[in-house]
Formats: sequence, C-alpha cells, structure tokens
Amino acid sequence: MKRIILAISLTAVVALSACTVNPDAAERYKQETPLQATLDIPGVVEAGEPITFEIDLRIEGDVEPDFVHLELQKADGTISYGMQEATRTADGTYELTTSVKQDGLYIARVHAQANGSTIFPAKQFIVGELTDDEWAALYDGAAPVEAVTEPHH
Amino acid sequence: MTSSSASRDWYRAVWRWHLYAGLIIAPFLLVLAVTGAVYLFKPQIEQVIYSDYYQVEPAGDRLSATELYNQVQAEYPDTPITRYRPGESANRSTEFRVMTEEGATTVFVDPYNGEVIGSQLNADRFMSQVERIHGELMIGPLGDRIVELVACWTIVLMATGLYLFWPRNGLQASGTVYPRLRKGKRILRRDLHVVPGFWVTAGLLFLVLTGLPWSGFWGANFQAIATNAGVGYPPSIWGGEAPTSTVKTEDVADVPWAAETLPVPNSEVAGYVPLSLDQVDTIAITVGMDPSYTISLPSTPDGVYTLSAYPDRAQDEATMHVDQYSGAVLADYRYDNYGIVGKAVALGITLHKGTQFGLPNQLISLAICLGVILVVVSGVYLWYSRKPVAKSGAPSAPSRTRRNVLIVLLVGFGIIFPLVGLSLLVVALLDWLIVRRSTKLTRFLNAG
Repeated sequence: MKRIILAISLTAVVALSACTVNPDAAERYKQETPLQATLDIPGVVEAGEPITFEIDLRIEGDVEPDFVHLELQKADGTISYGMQEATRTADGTYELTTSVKQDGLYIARVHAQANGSTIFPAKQFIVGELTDDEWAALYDGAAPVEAVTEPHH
Repeated sequence: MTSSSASRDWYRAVWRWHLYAGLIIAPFLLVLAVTGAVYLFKPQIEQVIYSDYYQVEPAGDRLSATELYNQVQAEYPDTPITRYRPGESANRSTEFRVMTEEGATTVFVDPYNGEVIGSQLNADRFMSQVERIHGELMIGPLGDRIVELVACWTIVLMATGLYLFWPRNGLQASGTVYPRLRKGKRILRRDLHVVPGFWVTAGLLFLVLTGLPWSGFWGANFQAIATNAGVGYPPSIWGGEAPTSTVKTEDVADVPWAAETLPVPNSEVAGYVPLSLDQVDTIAITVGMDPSYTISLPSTPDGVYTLSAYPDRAQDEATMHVDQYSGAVLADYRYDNYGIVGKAVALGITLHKGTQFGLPNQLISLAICLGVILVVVSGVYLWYSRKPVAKSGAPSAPSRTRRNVLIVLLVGFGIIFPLVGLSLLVVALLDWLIVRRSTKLTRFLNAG
C-alpha cells in the first residue's frame, strides 16, 4: 500500500507541475506578415513653408507596395489636404513634400498596402503656434481619441 | 479459487467502487445536471429577462462607435472602458464593458441616440450565477477543481456501472432499453437506475469529455500542451499571450498631462496616435467578423485591439489582434486555423453549450441532463432501499490481489487525470489513518 501511495504522490507531483504556452507557439499556426511603416516629420514646421514627410516601409519579401499615400488634416477636422501619393526615393524610402496654410495641431496619416496587409498609422504634430483652445484640446487628449478619417481599406 | 467465485469477487470489488464513488459524487452530479439544464437555455432566458436592456427601436442612422464610446465615458468618467460590442442586429442594443469599483459592468446603450439604457454588474447576471455554480460551485478555484474531479470520477462511475450492468447471458431489451414494470419492486428499482443509465451513458461521456477542456487545471494544461504541439487553439485564444503593437513606446505621442498649463515643444507632442474605435470597427466589418463581434480595447501602450466573435457555431469563431497604432492585422485566427484538437474542443464547447445546432441541440442535451438527474436520484434510492440498517450495504472488500489490480487501474487513470490520482491518495490516507483504526467504521463500510 505504501508503494502505491508513493507512486500516486510522485505521479501527482509530476502531473501537477502546470504547463504553460511557449512564447514561440504562434509559429506553429497561421502567421501574418504585417506591413510596418515609420513616418518622420521635421522637428520645426511653419505654415507656408515646405514640409517633407519621410516614410520608411518594411515589407516581408521583395514586393512592391500597392500604394503609399499620405493624408494631411487638421486635428479638429476643419482643414483637410486629402490623400497625396508619396514617391519612392533612391534609397527605397517614400517621400512627400507639401505645405499647410495655417498654424495648428495636425495629423499626418500614412495609408499603405502590400502583401495583403493594410496599415494607416498617424502622427500628430504642431505647425507654428497653437491657440489656447488647441492646447486645451491637446491636453484633453482629443487627438488620440477622435477619428480623423475612415481607414483606407 | 474457481472462475465463478473469482468473477463474483471482481464483481463485488467493482460494485464497491461504484457505490462509494457514486455516493460521494451524487450531490455534485445532481447540481451540475440541474444547472447545466438551465444554462443550456441561456439565450432564450436572457432574451426574456433582459429584454429591456437588449431591445432598441431602430430609428435612422446609428451613431459611430467613437461617439457612443464618448457618451459612455461621459456617464462613467475616470472609469476604464475595456470592451465594445456593437450588437448583432438592428434592434439590439450596443454594449460597453466598464471596470467600476464594484467590478466588470456592462453598460447598454441605444446606438441610435446614444442614450444609456441601463447597466448591470456582470457577476450579478442570473446566467453568471448559474455558470458560477456549474463551473466552480460558487467557491472559486477550489470549486473548479471539485467540478473537474466530479467529471473525472463520472467516467469511473460510467465504466464501473457498465461492468456491473452488462448481462452475463447477453443483452436483452427489457431491463436495458426499457424498465420491467411488472417484475416486482426490487427489479423496478434496479431498472430505474440502469435503464436511464444505459440511455445517457454515451451522451454524459460526451458532455464530460467536452467539458473537461474548460476546467481550470486539467483543461488549462491540456490546452497548453495542445497549443504548444501546434494542434490546439492558436496562442491567445485560450492560453498564451497576444502579440503586441509594433510601434515603440518612445515614438507614441506623449503629452505631459501633469504640466497642464505649460505649452510643450513639438518634439514632445509629435508622435503616433492610437486608432479610434471607429477605425477599428471599420476593420471588423471589412474583414467579415460575425455580427456578434466584440472589440477589446488595449490597456497598455503596447497593447492591441482584439476583435473576437464566438457565435453559436464553432465554425464562425474568429479572433483577431490589431496593432493599436498602425491598424496592421498582427494575428487573424479563424476556426480553420485551429489545430485538429483545437477544432474538436471548439466544436465540443458549442455542442456542450447547446448552441451548435440550435434547438435540437438544446433538447438533446436537456434530455441527457434529465436522464442524469434520474440516474443519480434512482441510484441513491436503490442503495438506500437495499442497504441493511446501520451498515453501508457495500459488498465486502475484495482480496488484496484484486484490490491492488483495481488500484493500479485507477492509478493509470489518475496519471491521465491527476486530480483523480490526488483524490485516490486522499482516500488511501483516510482509509489508513481513520477507517483501519476504527472497528466500528470498518464494520459499517464492510472494509475488513
């Protein structure tokens, strides 16, 4: 009887050591190849002056993106410069130079697609000086919460 | 020992296990069968008792997800909103989950005017209570382990019951498929236990095997092993981590909220901003999620939006993780992407819950639950009506050899289901420490 109790105890101790899901377990299932983009905006931006936006795309495999667009809009939605196509530079990044007419808080959103993966990351940035209302809106967290446009799906 | 006396000895040994296991398991099995029968009709019951929360009158265009979110946030300021469920039909309210001090709460909103219809603490919902009894006897993880143990021992009961019932002279319909009503009370009492047992065994075994993968101990380990082997659910659906958003934390727009009066330079403000709920909602519609989908909101800077749908049919399930800044789909798991064990578990869950085939599924499962109730009640009655006064009525303990063979068989079972192994250990200890040292108990339990 004692040997049986010992056997059960050992079995239970071994079996009770809980299993966890391995960090790399996802590799055994369907994998996505998400497109990634980095958007660079100059540190100082003035109204009426040219602004160059640089977009660095990371795509799995040697494929051309279906499109790379940049959408420019004031964060409060009062001015929209629509969607503009970025051009490919010699070093493989994408670039768009444009300008805006007014000071304020802006949103620049990249719309890109490749390999069936569509992304639309956005950055907020300041042009010139902000009004008190714009500072208040910024501190209120309006920009991160409010939608600017529908995604480019 | 002749072969017939050896056979009788075996029969007594199995009977002894069946009796004691049955008497201990009976009350729990009864609770599981009753709560299971009620839980099967969750959709219909909730539709009736929560119709005021669920039903809305379609009136023009729906407000956007972000507008509804802002309405709820205004009603519950400083309360994190963790989940959004738009509603699967035009006359279904929209739900938000907020984390109040009391706990997770569902807020029901009219999507046509943004009006908050009402709210309900999730733990207070009638079906949550039924689920808590069915899954953990309302006592948390300990209850979960007890339910798991009951499920495992139910398999032992079915196996020993089949052995005891199996006619040595061949199967006959009377006394197996239907009870013998005119053969006296003793036969009838036996048939009222055996006949429903015969009918429900396959169904009950199915319910046990499909319920076990949800259990907190065996189920969690089983799921982890299956996921790691590439044959289970993909990570994050049951266990394992969801992917994280790819944008680096330092690149995220970060306003120094504490310094509310000081303007900050562009370098501090410029950065990636999270997607709005509207944009994520559009992704859910674009990728063809089932209309019953929910969106779980990220709670950390590197978290993801998780889109998930668990409708009636397992084949319509979907879980998707979306980068909260770029909108990139980081993982998109549908039923077809599950491993073979994951598919079986998913299908088992919807069949167990009675949703896979709608009403016929519910009625078949209800019949099994009612059959189990009958087997449990008639089993206890059968024992009580036959047992001698002041004795357990158990057959005498088998010879040492047979006892050890049976225990080895159960230890083997205990390796597959460790909680059974642990319970055997407890039984052996109780036997050794208490029963064997008390003449009265040894006599009562016929354990000599």
